[in-house]
Amino acid sequence: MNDGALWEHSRHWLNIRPVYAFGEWVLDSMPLFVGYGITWGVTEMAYHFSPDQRAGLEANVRQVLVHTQPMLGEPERERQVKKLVYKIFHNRGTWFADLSVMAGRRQVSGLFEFKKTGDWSALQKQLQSGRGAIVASAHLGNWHGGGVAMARAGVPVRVVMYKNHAGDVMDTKVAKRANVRQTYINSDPMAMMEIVRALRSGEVLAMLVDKPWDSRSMAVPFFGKPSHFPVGPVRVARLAGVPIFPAFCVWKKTREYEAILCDPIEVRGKDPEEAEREALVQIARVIEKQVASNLAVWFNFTPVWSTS
Amino acid sequence: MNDAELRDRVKAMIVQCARLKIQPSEIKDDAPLFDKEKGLGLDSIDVLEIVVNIEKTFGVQIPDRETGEKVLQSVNTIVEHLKSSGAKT
Repeated sequence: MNDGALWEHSRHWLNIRPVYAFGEWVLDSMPLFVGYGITWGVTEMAYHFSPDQRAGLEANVRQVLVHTQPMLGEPERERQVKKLVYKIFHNRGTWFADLSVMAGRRQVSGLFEFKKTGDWSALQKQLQSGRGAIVASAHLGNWHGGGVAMARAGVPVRVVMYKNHAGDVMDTKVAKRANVRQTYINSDPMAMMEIVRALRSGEVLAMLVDKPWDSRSMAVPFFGKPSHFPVGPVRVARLAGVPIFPAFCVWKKTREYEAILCDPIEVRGKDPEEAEREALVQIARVIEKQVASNLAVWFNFTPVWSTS
Repeated sequence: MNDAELRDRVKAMIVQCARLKIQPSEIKDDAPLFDKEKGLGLDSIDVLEIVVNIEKTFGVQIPDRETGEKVLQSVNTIVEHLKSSGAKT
């Protein structure tokens, strides 16, 4: 349920429905270069007037650098933290602009390029078996773009998510345009029936698994320190007997994305809780690797290690 | 298996699935499963565990949301569904 510290921390003066709707209208109505320019300006303001989000990002990036570059001296590390956090804010602005374009009325098929990497045939093979699968992603790059890339590849994808303060306005439009189905879980316990039915009919469930929105979480190593990951996705996979494919949609150039599909993780074992823990450890390890390689597009504004 | 025994098995299954820290006998037959104040306060993950366990233990499917909404209200409604679906006991 959306009633925890993460929900509170994700409150922001830009993260409200009228702002999203207005931003989307502006970006959809103006030439792209104007839209991206305005976004840059708004993001610059957001950087200066969002102390909590900046602090959250700084803490996260600092821990990543401590773990991945232990030889770095503190002054140099702090310099890199500041530089990266500034870049992440502006990349988040680009994320918003891209998402608005994906949600809007423009013809997007030629605007966005998705280069597929990883073994996509493993997912196809799983779907041919008649059972679905779970795709686990993180707040890295453009996760909505990942859904679009999957749908374009002919994968029957359903996004499972909590309602956001505002983002679900755009999520719904992007999903509709891309033929991606959606299920909101929030406080409706029966939503799980829809999820079970979807997996049994061979759908792929896409979930963000790097933030524990409710109390069901488990601490596993992440960049050298325990961090809480949600148990829900691994439990669904175990009970439904389907594999989890970690997947990410990252970018290094405007509107040119890389849709990365990683090797599947099975949640199996005699001891169910141990099997879930082991799967979460593996998922965290894969996310860790992708975050380290794409730190400038890691949009996790909530402190990752404070809930541990 | 009579009704009382079936009820006890369903209660034991709910306690196990939802990892409740109570005795099965403490669950009232008509306690709402999802109400936090008046009932057991189960959530969506518990639903999944219960549905999968009903299939494994009793060989009865709860195939869709509509059936789930009718069946997963209380111990009584689960027992009624198991009886009317010819559950293996």
